[in-house]
Amino acid sequence: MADYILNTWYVAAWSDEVTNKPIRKMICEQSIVLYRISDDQAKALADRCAHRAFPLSKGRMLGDSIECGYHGFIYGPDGRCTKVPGQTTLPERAVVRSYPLHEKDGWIWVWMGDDPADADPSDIPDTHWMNDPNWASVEHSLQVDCRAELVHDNLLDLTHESFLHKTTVGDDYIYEYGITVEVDDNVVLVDRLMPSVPAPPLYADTMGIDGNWDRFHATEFFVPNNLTLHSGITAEGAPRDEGYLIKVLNAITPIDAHTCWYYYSFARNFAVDNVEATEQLREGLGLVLEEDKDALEAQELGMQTRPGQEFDVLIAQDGGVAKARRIHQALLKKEAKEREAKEPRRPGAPANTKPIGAAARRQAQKAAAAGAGRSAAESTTSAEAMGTAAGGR
Amino acid sequence: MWMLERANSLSAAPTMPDGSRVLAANPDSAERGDPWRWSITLHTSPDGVSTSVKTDESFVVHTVELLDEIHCSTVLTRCTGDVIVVAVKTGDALITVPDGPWQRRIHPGDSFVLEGEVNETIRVELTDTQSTATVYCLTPTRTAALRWVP
Ligand code: FES
Ligand SMILES: [Fe+2]
Repeated sequence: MADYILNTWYVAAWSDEVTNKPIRKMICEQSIVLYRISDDQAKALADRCAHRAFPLSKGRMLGDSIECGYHGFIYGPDGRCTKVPGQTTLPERAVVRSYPLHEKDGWIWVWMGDDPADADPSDIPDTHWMNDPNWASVEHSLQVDCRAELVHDNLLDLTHESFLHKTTVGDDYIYEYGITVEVDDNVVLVDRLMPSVPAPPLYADTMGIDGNWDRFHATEFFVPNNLTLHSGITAEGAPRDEGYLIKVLNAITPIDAHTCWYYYSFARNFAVDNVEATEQLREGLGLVLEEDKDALEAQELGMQTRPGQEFDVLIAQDGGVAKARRIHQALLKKEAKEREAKEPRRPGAPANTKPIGAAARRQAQKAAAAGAGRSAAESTTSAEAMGTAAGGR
Repeated sequence: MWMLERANSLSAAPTMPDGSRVLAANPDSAERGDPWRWSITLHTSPDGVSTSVKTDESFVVHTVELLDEIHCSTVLTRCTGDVIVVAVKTGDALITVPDGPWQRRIHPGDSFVLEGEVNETIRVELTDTQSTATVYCLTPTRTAALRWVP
Protein backbone atom coordinates (compact mmCIF):
# COMPACT_ATOMS: atom_id res chain seq x y z
CA MET A 1 0.00 0.00 0.00
CA ALA A 2 1.23 3.46 -0.82
CA ASP A 3 1.71 6.03 1.93
CA TYR A 4 -1.35 8.09 2.76
CA ILE A 5 -2.04 10.65 5.43
CA LEU A 6 -4.93 9.05 7.28
CA ASN A 7 -5.49 11.29 10.29
CA THR A 8 -7.76 13.61 8.39
CA TRP A 9 -11.26 14.03 6.98
CA TYR A 10 -11.63 13.18 3.29
CA VAL A 11 -14.63 14.00 1.14
CA ALA A 12 -16.14 10.62 0.35
CA ALA A 13 -19.24 11.61 -1.63
CA TRP A 14 -21.84 14.25 -2.37
CA SER A 15 -24.70 14.20 0.12
CA ASP A 16 -27.20 13.34 -2.59
CA GLU A 17 -25.20 10.33 -3.76
CA VAL A 18 -25.81 8.62 -0.45
CA THR A 19 -29.25 7.07 -0.03
CA ASN A 20 -30.68 3.95 1.56
CA LYS A 21 -29.10 2.01 -1.29
CA PRO A 22 -25.51 1.24 -0.26
CA ILE A 23 -22.70 2.55 -2.49
CA ARG A 24 -19.02 1.71 -2.55
CA LYS A 25 -16.18 4.26 -2.42
CA MET A 26 -12.47 3.62 -2.36
CA ILE A 27 -10.41 6.04 -0.26
CA CYS A 28 -6.68 5.61 0.31
CA GLU A 29 -7.02 1.99 -0.86
CA GLN A 30 -9.69 1.29 1.74
CA SER A 31 -13.09 0.29 0.40
CA ILE A 32 -15.98 1.90 2.22
CA VAL A 33 -19.73 1.38 1.98
CA LEU A 34 -21.90 4.47 2.42
CA TYR A 35 -25.63 4.44 3.09
CA ARG A 36 -28.36 6.20 5.04
CA ILE A 37 -30.40 4.82 7.92
CA SER A 38 -34.01 5.68 8.67
CA ASP A 39 -33.33 8.98 10.46
CA ASP A 40 -31.44 10.06 7.34
CA GLN A 41 -28.04 9.81 9.01
CA ALA A 42 -25.29 8.72 6.66
CA LYS A 43 -23.07 5.84 7.74
CA ALA A 44 -19.66 4.58 6.59
CA LEU A 45 -18.50 1.01 7.17
CA ALA A 46 -15.65 -1.02 5.75
CA ASP A 47 -17.05 -2.49 2.55
CA ARG A 48 -15.90 -6.00 3.36
CA CYS A 49 -17.95 -8.55 5.22
CA ALA A 50 -16.11 -9.95 8.23
CA HIS A 51 -17.18 -13.45 7.20
CA ARG A 52 -15.39 -13.80 3.89
CA ALA A 53 -14.75 -10.29 2.56
CA PHE A 54 -17.70 -9.97 0.19
CA PRO A 55 -18.49 -6.25 -0.41
CA LEU A 56 -21.37 -5.13 1.80
CA SER A 57 -22.27 -2.59 -0.87
CA LYS A 58 -23.56 -5.55 -2.89
CA GLY A 59 -25.92 -6.44 -0.05
CA ARG A 60 -29.26 -4.91 0.89
CA MET A 61 -30.67 -2.72 3.63
CA LEU A 62 -32.95 -4.28 6.23
CA GLY A 63 -34.22 -1.32 8.23
CA ASP A 64 -31.10 0.34 9.59
CA SER A 65 -28.99 -2.77 9.08
CA ILE A 66 -27.13 -4.05 6.08
CA GLU A 67 -27.30 -7.69 5.04
CA CYS A 68 -24.35 -9.24 3.24
CA GLY A 69 -25.42 -10.49 -0.17
CA TYR A 70 -23.27 -13.64 0.02
CA HIS A 71 -24.16 -15.61 3.20
CA GLY A 72 -26.50 -13.22 4.99
CA PHE A 73 -24.49 -11.85 7.93
CA ILE A 74 -26.34 -8.76 9.16
CA TYR A 75 -24.55 -5.66 10.49
CA GLY A 76 -25.94 -2.75 12.49
CA PRO A 77 -24.98 0.85 11.75
CA ASP A 78 -22.11 0.59 14.25
CA GLY A 79 -20.53 -2.23 12.20
CA ARG A 80 -21.33 -4.97 14.72
CA CYS A 81 -22.77 -8.18 13.38
CA THR A 82 -26.24 -8.72 14.82
CA LYS A 83 -27.21 -11.91 13.06
CA VAL A 84 -25.51 -14.96 11.58
CA PRO A 85 -27.90 -17.21 9.66
CA GLY A 86 -28.34 -20.66 11.20
CA GLN A 87 -26.86 -19.96 14.64
CA THR A 88 -27.61 -17.84 17.66
CA THR A 89 -24.08 -17.20 18.86
CA LEU A 90 -22.25 -14.35 17.16
CA PRO A 91 -18.52 -14.74 16.56
CA GLU A 92 -16.68 -12.08 18.54
CA ARG A 93 -14.74 -10.93 15.53
CA ALA A 94 -17.81 -10.53 13.37
CA VAL A 95 -17.55 -6.78 13.20
CA VAL A 96 -16.59 -4.42 10.41
CA ARG A 97 -14.81 -1.12 10.87
CA SER A 98 -17.05 1.87 11.28
CA TYR A 99 -15.64 5.20 10.07
CA PRO A 100 -16.50 8.54 11.73
CA LEU A 101 -18.60 10.51 9.26
CA HIS A 102 -19.64 14.15 9.09
CA GLU A 103 -22.04 15.70 6.62
CA LYS A 104 -21.83 19.40 5.85
CA ASP A 105 -22.94 21.76 3.08
CA GLY A 106 -23.48 18.93 0.60
CA TRP A 107 -20.38 16.87 1.19
CA ILE A 108 -19.94 13.66 3.17
CA TRP A 109 -16.62 13.62 5.02
CA VAL A 110 -15.09 10.42 6.38
CA TRP A 111 -12.29 10.24 8.98
CA MET A 112 -9.69 7.72 7.85
CA GLY A 113 -7.46 7.73 10.95
CA ASP A 114 -7.12 4.72 13.23
CA ASP A 115 -8.46 6.40 16.34
CA PRO A 116 -12.06 7.67 16.09
CA ALA A 117 -11.43 9.80 19.18
CA ASP A 118 -9.20 12.02 17.02
CA ALA A 119 -12.01 12.73 14.57
CA ASP A 120 -12.97 16.32 15.27
CA PRO A 121 -15.45 17.79 12.73
CA SER A 122 -14.25 21.29 13.57
CA ASP A 123 -11.07 20.40 11.64
CA ILE A 124 -13.08 20.38 8.41
CA PRO A 125 -12.46 23.61 6.48
CA ASP A 126 -15.20 26.15 5.85
CA THR A 127 -17.44 25.09 2.96
CA HIS A 128 -20.53 27.22 3.67
CA TRP A 129 -20.39 28.97 0.28
CA MET A 130 -21.90 25.84 -1.28
CA ASN A 131 -24.94 26.33 0.85
CA ASP A 132 -25.37 30.07 1.32
CA PRO A 133 -28.24 31.96 -0.39
CA ASN A 134 -25.94 34.94 -0.95
CA TRP A 135 -23.75 32.81 -3.18
CA ALA A 136 -24.55 30.84 -6.34
CA SER A 137 -22.54 27.71 -6.90
CA VAL A 138 -21.94 25.09 -9.56
CA GLU A 139 -20.54 21.70 -8.73
CA HIS A 140 -18.52 19.06 -10.51
CA SER A 141 -16.68 15.93 -9.54
CA LEU A 142 -14.42 13.73 -11.55
CA GLN A 143 -12.12 10.81 -11.15
CA VAL A 144 -8.63 11.74 -12.27
CA ASP A 145 -6.08 9.05 -13.07
CA CYS A 146 -3.21 10.73 -11.33
CA ARG A 147 -1.76 10.84 -7.83
CA ALA A 148 -3.55 13.37 -5.61
CA GLU A 149 -0.37 15.42 -5.19
CA LEU A 150 -0.42 16.44 -8.85
CA VAL A 151 -3.82 18.06 -8.35
CA HIS A 152 -2.48 19.91 -5.29
CA ASP A 153 0.44 21.24 -7.34
CA ASN A 154 -1.94 22.24 -10.13
CA LEU A 155 -4.05 24.35 -7.79
CA LEU A 156 -1.12 25.91 -5.97
CA ASP A 157 0.48 27.11 -9.17
CA LEU A 158 -2.17 28.85 -11.24
CA THR A 159 0.30 30.12 -13.82
CA HIS A 160 -0.86 27.08 -15.79
CA GLU A 161 -4.01 29.05 -16.63
CA SER A 162 -2.01 31.09 -19.16
CA PHE A 163 -1.03 27.95 -21.08
CA LEU A 164 -3.28 25.01 -20.36
CA HIS A 165 -6.47 27.06 -20.25
CA LYS A 166 -5.43 29.49 -22.99
CA THR A 167 -8.73 29.16 -24.82
CA THR A 168 -11.01 28.93 -21.78
CA VAL A 169 -10.10 30.97 -18.70
CA GLY A 170 -6.46 31.77 -19.42
CA ASP A 171 -4.98 35.23 -19.38
CA ASP A 172 -1.48 35.83 -20.69
CA TYR A 173 -0.39 37.99 -17.82
CA ILE A 174 -0.89 35.75 -14.78
CA TYR A 175 2.69 34.51 -14.47
CA GLU A 176 4.02 38.04 -14.77
CA TYR A 177 2.87 38.85 -11.24
CA GLY A 178 4.79 37.68 -8.21
CA ILE A 179 3.33 35.56 -5.47
CA THR A 180 3.33 35.85 -1.73
CA VAL A 181 3.50 32.49 0.01
CA GLU A 182 2.56 32.13 3.66
CA VAL A 183 3.02 28.98 5.67
CA ASP A 184 1.39 28.48 9.04
CA ASP A 185 1.06 25.08 10.69
CA ASN A 186 -0.30 22.78 7.93
CA VAL A 187 -1.70 25.58 5.76
CA VAL A 188 0.02 27.03 2.70
CA LEU A 189 -1.37 30.17 1.14
CA VAL A 190 -0.24 31.28 -2.32
CA ASP A 191 -1.51 34.75 -3.09
CA ARG A 192 -1.21 36.61 -6.36
CA LEU A 193 -2.39 40.18 -6.81
CA MET A 194 -2.80 41.44 -10.36
CA PRO A 195 -3.44 45.16 -9.92
CA SER A 196 -5.23 47.28 -12.47
CA VAL A 197 -6.13 44.74 -15.14
CA PRO A 198 -9.26 44.54 -17.30
CA ALA A 199 -12.13 42.65 -15.67
CA PRO A 200 -12.09 39.05 -16.93
CA PRO A 201 -15.10 38.17 -19.15
CA LEU A 202 -17.04 36.35 -16.42
CA TYR A 203 -17.29 39.52 -14.34
CA ALA A 204 -17.56 41.90 -17.30
CA ASP A 205 -20.37 39.97 -18.97
CA THR A 206 -22.48 39.22 -15.91
CA MET A 207 -22.05 42.57 -14.18
CA GLY A 208 -21.86 44.81 -17.25
CA ILE A 209 -18.61 46.39 -16.07
CA ASP A 210 -15.49 47.51 -17.88
CA GLY A 211 -12.28 49.39 -17.12
CA ASN A 212 -9.48 48.23 -14.88
CA TRP A 213 -9.80 46.35 -11.62
CA ASP A 214 -7.53 44.77 -9.07
CA ARG A 215 -7.68 41.04 -9.60
CA PHE A 216 -6.44 38.46 -7.13
CA HIS A 217 -6.36 34.77 -6.53
CA ALA A 218 -5.17 33.04 -3.42
CA THR A 219 -5.01 29.29 -3.00
CA GLU A 220 -5.27 28.18 0.61
CA PHE A 221 -4.12 24.59 0.90
CA PHE A 222 -5.07 22.74 4.05
CA VAL A 223 -2.51 19.99 3.59
CA PRO A 224 -3.12 17.16 2.77
CA ASN A 225 -6.44 17.34 0.93
CA ASN A 226 -8.44 20.54 0.71
CA LEU A 227 -7.69 23.63 -1.32
CA THR A 228 -9.86 26.70 -1.21
CA LEU A 229 -9.27 29.20 -3.98
CA HIS A 230 -10.28 32.73 -2.98
CA SER A 231 -10.40 34.91 -6.04
CA GLY A 232 -12.11 38.01 -7.29
CA ILE A 233 -11.84 41.55 -8.54
CA THR A 234 -12.14 44.78 -6.58
CA ALA A 235 -12.19 48.44 -7.49
CA GLU A 236 -8.56 49.55 -7.61
CA GLY A 237 -7.15 49.74 -4.08
CA ALA A 238 -10.40 48.62 -2.45
CA PRO A 239 -10.52 45.96 0.27
CA ARG A 240 -10.98 42.41 -0.96
CA ASP A 241 -14.18 41.70 0.89
CA GLU A 242 -15.87 44.50 -1.08
CA GLY A 243 -15.20 42.83 -4.42
CA TYR A 244 -16.96 40.48 -6.77
CA LEU A 245 -15.78 37.29 -5.22
CA ILE A 246 -15.38 33.64 -6.14
CA LYS A 247 -14.69 30.75 -3.76
CA VAL A 248 -13.63 27.51 -5.36
CA LEU A 249 -13.61 24.51 -3.06
CA ASN A 250 -11.41 21.65 -4.17
CA ALA A 251 -11.42 18.46 -2.13
CA ILE A 252 -8.94 15.91 -3.39
CA THR A 253 -9.42 12.37 -2.13
CA PRO A 254 -6.83 9.71 -2.99
CA ILE A 255 -8.28 6.48 -4.34
CA ASP A 256 -4.92 4.77 -4.70
CA ALA A 257 -1.35 5.74 -5.56
CA HIS A 258 -2.26 6.74 -9.12
CA THR A 259 -5.92 7.78 -8.95
CA CYS A 260 -7.96 10.32 -7.03
CA TRP A 261 -11.39 11.93 -6.75
CA TYR A 262 -11.68 15.61 -7.39
CA TYR A 263 -14.73 17.25 -5.74
CA TYR A 264 -15.27 20.79 -6.91
CA SER A 265 -17.60 23.66 -6.05
CA PHE A 266 -17.39 27.10 -7.62
CA ALA A 267 -19.38 29.77 -5.77
CA ARG A 268 -19.76 33.46 -6.66
CA ASN A 269 -21.29 36.37 -4.77
CA PHE A 270 -22.35 38.31 -7.88
CA ALA A 271 -25.10 37.74 -10.46
CA VAL A 272 -26.38 35.19 -7.97
CA ASP A 273 -29.86 35.05 -9.54
CA ASN A 274 -28.58 34.92 -13.10
CA VAL A 275 -29.62 31.38 -13.98
CA GLU A 276 -28.23 31.63 -17.49
CA ALA A 277 -24.82 32.64 -16.15
CA THR A 278 -24.91 29.68 -13.77
CA GLU A 279 -25.64 27.28 -16.60
CA GLN A 280 -22.94 28.76 -18.78
CA LEU A 281 -20.50 28.48 -15.91
CA ARG A 282 -21.45 24.89 -15.29
CA GLU A 283 -20.60 24.05 -18.88
CA GLY A 284 -17.53 26.28 -19.12
CA LEU A 285 -15.99 25.08 -15.86
CA GLY A 286 -16.67 21.50 -16.88
CA LEU A 287 -14.47 22.11 -19.94
CA VAL A 288 -11.75 23.71 -17.82
CA LEU A 289 -11.75 20.72 -15.49
CA GLU A 290 -11.48 18.37 -18.47
CA GLU A 291 -8.42 20.33 -19.59
CA ASP A 292 -6.91 19.86 -16.14
CA LYS A 293 -7.80 16.17 -16.09
CA ASP A 294 -6.17 15.54 -19.48
CA ALA A 295 -3.02 17.36 -18.40
CA LEU A 296 -2.83 15.66 -15.00
CA GLU A 297 -3.26 12.20 -16.48
CA ALA A 298 -0.57 12.90 -19.07
CA GLN A 299 1.67 14.22 -16.31
CA GLU A 300 1.05 11.08 -14.23
CA LEU A 301 2.30 8.97 -17.13
CA GLY A 302 5.32 11.25 -17.36
CA MET A 303 5.99 10.72 -13.66
CA GLN A 304 5.65 6.97 -13.93
CA THR A 305 8.15 6.73 -16.78
CA ARG A 306 10.62 9.29 -15.46
CA PRO A 307 14.00 7.82 -14.42
CA GLY A 308 14.54 7.78 -10.66
CA GLN A 309 17.46 10.19 -10.74
CA GLU A 310 15.43 12.95 -12.42
CA PHE A 311 13.52 15.41 -10.27
CA ASP A 312 11.11 18.29 -10.82
CA VAL A 313 12.92 21.53 -11.65
CA LEU A 314 11.04 23.80 -9.30
CA ILE A 315 11.15 27.56 -9.85
CA ALA A 316 10.28 30.50 -7.61
CA GLN A 317 6.62 30.32 -8.77
CA ASP A 318 6.58 26.88 -7.16
CA GLY A 319 7.40 28.23 -3.71
CA GLY A 320 4.02 27.11 -2.36
CA VAL A 321 4.32 23.73 -4.05
CA ALA A 322 7.71 23.16 -2.40
CA LYS A 323 6.39 24.06 1.04
CA ALA A 324 3.25 21.94 0.69
CA ARG A 325 5.34 18.91 -0.27
CA ARG A 326 7.43 19.37 2.87
CA ILE A 327 4.32 19.55 5.04
CA HIS A 328 2.96 16.44 3.35
CA GLN A 329 6.20 14.58 4.11
CA ALA A 330 6.21 15.85 7.69
CA LEU A 331 2.65 14.61 8.24
CA LEU A 332 3.44 11.20 6.75
CA LYS A 333 6.48 10.89 8.97
CA LYS A 334 4.52 11.90 12.05
CA GLU A 335 1.84 9.28 11.39
CA ALA A 336 4.41 6.57 10.72
CA LYS A 337 6.07 7.37 14.05
CA GLU A 338 2.76 7.29 15.89
CA ARG A 339 1.84 3.96 14.35
CA GLU A 340 5.22 2.55 15.23
CA ALA A 341 4.87 3.70 18.82
CA LYS A 342 1.50 1.94 19.08
CA GLU A 343 2.70 -1.34 17.55
CA PRO A 344 3.17 -3.84 20.40
CA ARG A 345 6.67 -5.29 20.62
CA ARG A 346 7.41 -8.78 21.87
CA PRO A 347 10.28 -8.99 24.34
CA GLY A 348 13.41 -10.22 22.64
CA ALA A 349 12.07 -9.61 19.18
CA PRO A 350 14.18 -7.55 16.83
CA ALA A 351 12.98 -4.12 15.89
CA ASN A 352 10.16 -4.12 13.41
CA THR A 353 10.94 -0.85 11.70
CA LYS A 354 8.17 -1.30 9.18
CA PRO A 355 5.11 -2.57 11.02
CA ILE A 356 3.03 -3.53 8.05
CA GLY A 357 0.86 -6.31 9.28
CA ALA A 358 0.99 -10.04 9.47
CA ALA A 359 3.74 -10.66 6.91
CA ALA A 360 6.11 -8.32 8.70
CA ARG A 361 5.24 -9.88 12.05
CA ARG A 362 5.92 -13.38 10.75
CA GLN A 363 9.26 -12.22 9.41
CA ALA A 364 10.15 -10.66 12.75
CA GLN A 365 9.17 -13.85 14.56
CA LYS A 366 11.36 -15.91 12.25
CA ALA A 367 14.31 -13.62 12.82
CA ALA A 368 13.79 -13.82 16.58
CA ALA A 369 13.59 -17.61 16.44
CA ALA A 370 16.86 -17.66 14.47
CA GLY A 371 18.41 -16.41 17.70
CA ALA A 372 19.56 -12.99 16.69
CA GLY A 373 19.51 -12.43 20.44
CA ARG A 374 19.14 -8.69 20.27
CA SER A 375 17.42 -7.21 23.25
CA ALA A 376 14.30 -5.13 22.97
CA ALA A 377 16.41 -2.24 24.16
CA GLU A 378 18.23 -2.31 20.86
CA SER A 379 15.01 -1.57 19.05
CA THR A 380 15.49 1.13 16.51
CA THR A 381 12.98 3.60 15.31
CA SER A 382 12.67 4.66 11.70
CA ALA A 383 11.63 6.86 11.02
CA GLU A 384 -3.14 36.06 9.34
CA ALA A 385 -6.01 35.54 8.14
CA MET A 386 -6.44 35.62 4.38
CA GLY A 387 -5.08 38.76 2.80
CA THR A 388 -6.21 40.68 5.95
CA ALA A 389 -9.39 41.17 3.95
CA ALA A 390 -7.62 44.20 2.59
CA GLY A 391 -5.93 42.72 -0.39
CA GLY A 392 -2.53 41.26 -1.02
CA ARG A 393 0.39 43.30 -2.05
CA MET B 1 8.30 35.71 -4.65
CA TRP B 2 7.78 36.54 -1.03
CA MET B 3 7.71 33.82 1.57
CA LEU B 4 6.55 34.26 5.12
CA GLU B 5 7.01 31.10 7.09
CA ARG B 6 5.69 31.05 10.62
CA ALA B 7 7.66 29.43 13.43
CA ASN B 8 4.97 26.75 13.82
CA SER B 9 4.97 25.78 10.14
CA LEU B 10 5.02 22.02 9.63
CA SER B 11 7.44 22.56 6.75
CA ALA B 12 9.94 24.36 8.95
CA ALA B 13 13.28 22.67 9.55
CA PRO B 14 13.47 20.79 12.85
CA THR B 15 15.13 22.30 15.90
CA MET B 16 18.49 20.67 16.60
CA PRO B 17 19.49 19.47 20.09
CA ASP B 18 21.62 22.60 20.54
CA GLY B 19 18.54 24.79 20.06
CA SER B 20 19.38 25.90 16.53
CA ARG B 21 17.04 25.75 13.57
CA VAL B 22 17.55 26.65 9.92
CA LEU B 23 15.13 29.48 9.20
CA ALA B 24 15.68 29.61 5.45
CA ALA B 25 18.16 28.03 3.09
CA ASN B 26 18.98 27.32 -0.50
CA PRO B 27 19.17 24.58 -1.51
CA ASP B 28 17.94 22.64 1.46
CA SER B 29 17.07 19.43 -0.33
CA ALA B 30 19.29 16.97 -2.12
CA GLU B 31 17.57 17.07 -5.49
CA ARG B 32 17.40 20.86 -5.91
CA GLY B 33 20.96 21.21 -7.14
CA ASP B 34 21.40 25.01 -7.36
CA PRO B 35 25.06 25.94 -6.81
CA TRP B 36 24.35 29.10 -4.80
CA ARG B 37 24.26 27.81 -1.29
CA TRP B 38 23.21 29.83 1.72
CA SER B 39 21.45 29.25 4.99
CA ILE B 40 20.27 31.38 7.86
CA THR B 41 20.03 29.80 11.27
CA LEU B 42 18.17 30.80 14.40
CA HIS B 43 19.91 29.99 17.69
CA THR B 44 17.92 29.82 20.89
CA SER B 45 19.74 29.68 24.21
CA PRO B 46 19.05 30.78 27.78
CA ASP B 47 20.74 34.08 26.84
CA GLY B 48 18.22 34.76 24.13
CA VAL B 49 17.78 34.42 20.40
CA SER B 50 20.38 35.12 17.73
CA THR B 51 20.74 34.42 14.03
CA SER B 52 23.67 33.55 11.81
CA VAL B 53 24.31 33.21 8.10
CA LYS B 54 26.39 30.76 6.11
CA THR B 55 27.14 31.17 2.43
CA ASP B 56 29.33 29.61 -0.20
CA GLU B 57 31.23 32.82 -0.92
CA SER B 58 32.21 31.79 -4.41
CA PHE B 59 28.52 32.10 -5.34
CA VAL B 60 26.90 34.36 -2.75
CA VAL B 61 28.10 37.34 -0.74
CA HIS B 62 26.05 38.90 2.00
CA THR B 63 25.53 41.91 4.24
CA VAL B 64 23.92 41.93 7.68
CA GLU B 65 22.02 44.80 9.22
CA LEU B 66 20.75 44.83 12.76
CA LEU B 67 17.58 46.83 13.26
CA ASP B 68 17.08 48.19 16.79
CA GLU B 69 15.40 51.21 18.34
CA ILE B 70 17.51 53.62 16.28
CA HIS B 71 15.84 52.21 13.19
CA CYS B 72 12.28 52.11 14.46
CA SER B 73 11.12 52.20 10.85
CA THR B 74 13.33 51.19 7.96
CA VAL B 75 12.71 51.13 4.24
CA LEU B 76 14.48 48.16 2.67
CA THR B 77 15.16 48.09 -1.02
CA ARG B 78 15.91 44.74 -2.50
CA CYS B 79 18.08 45.20 -5.58
CA THR B 80 17.50 43.19 -8.74
CA GLY B 81 18.41 39.56 -8.20
CA ASP B 82 19.22 39.82 -4.48
CA VAL B 83 17.51 37.86 -1.75
CA ILE B 84 16.55 39.54 1.52
CA VAL B 85 15.77 37.60 4.68
CA VAL B 86 14.23 39.32 7.69
CA ALA B 87 14.27 37.59 11.08
CA VAL B 88 13.10 39.03 14.39
CA LYS B 89 15.34 38.47 17.41
CA THR B 90 13.23 40.06 20.14
CA GLY B 91 9.75 41.56 20.28
CA ASP B 92 8.10 41.83 16.90
CA ALA B 93 8.19 43.76 13.66
CA LEU B 94 5.59 44.92 11.20
CA ILE B 95 6.30 44.42 7.50
CA THR B 96 4.38 46.74 5.19
CA VAL B 97 4.49 47.66 1.52
CA PRO B 98 4.77 51.37 0.76
CA ASP B 99 2.09 51.34 -1.95
CA GLY B 100 -0.43 48.82 -0.68
CA PRO B 101 -2.49 47.60 2.20
CA TRP B 102 -0.52 44.37 2.69
CA GLN B 103 1.06 44.04 6.11
CA ARG B 104 2.15 41.28 8.43
CA ARG B 105 3.58 41.18 11.92
CA ILE B 106 6.49 38.80 12.39
CA HIS B 107 7.90 37.30 15.56
CA PRO B 108 11.03 35.42 16.63
CA GLY B 109 11.16 32.11 14.76
CA ASP B 110 9.26 33.44 11.73
CA SER B 111 11.18 34.12 8.55
CA PHE B 112 10.36 36.52 5.77
CA VAL B 113 12.20 36.06 2.47
CA LEU B 114 11.96 38.26 -0.61
CA GLU B 115 13.42 37.31 -3.95
CA GLY B 116 12.91 38.23 -7.58
CA GLU B 117 14.35 39.72 -10.71
CA VAL B 118 13.07 43.27 -10.31
CA ASN B 119 13.89 45.49 -7.39
CA GLU B 120 11.29 46.31 -4.79
CA THR B 121 10.81 48.08 -1.49
CA ILE B 122 9.29 47.11 1.84
CA ARG B 123 9.15 48.81 5.21
CA VAL B 124 10.08 47.13 8.49
CA GLU B 125 8.75 48.79 11.64
CA LEU B 126 9.82 47.63 15.07
CA THR B 127 6.89 47.51 17.42
CA ASP B 128 8.68 48.94 20.47
CA THR B 129 12.14 49.80 21.81
CA GLN B 130 12.65 46.21 22.98
CA SER B 131 12.28 44.81 19.48
CA THR B 132 15.25 43.92 17.30
CA ALA B 133 15.47 42.29 13.90
CA THR B 134 18.22 41.15 11.56
CA VAL B 135 18.17 41.74 7.84
CA TYR B 136 20.37 39.63 5.59
CA CYS B 137 20.93 40.65 2.01
CA LEU B 138 22.37 37.95 -0.26
CA THR B 139 23.90 38.88 -3.60
CA PRO B 140 24.98 36.46 -6.33
CA THR B 141 28.55 36.69 -7.60
CA ARG B 142 28.25 34.75 -10.86
CA THR B 143 24.71 35.22 -12.05
CA ALA B 144 22.34 38.12 -12.48
CA ALA B 145 19.71 36.87 -10.04
CA LEU B 146 19.67 34.60 -7.06
CA ARG B 147 16.34 32.87 -7.63
CA TRP B 148 15.08 30.91 -4.67
CA VAL B 149 12.93 27.85 -4.25
CA PRO B 150 12.39 26.99 -0.60
S1 FES C 1 6.41 23.76 -18.30
FE1 FES C 1 5.56 22.73 -16.61
S2 FES C 1 5.58 20.67 -17.19
FE2 FES C 1 6.54 21.68 -18.83
FE1 LIG D 1 -6.50 24.34 -14.16
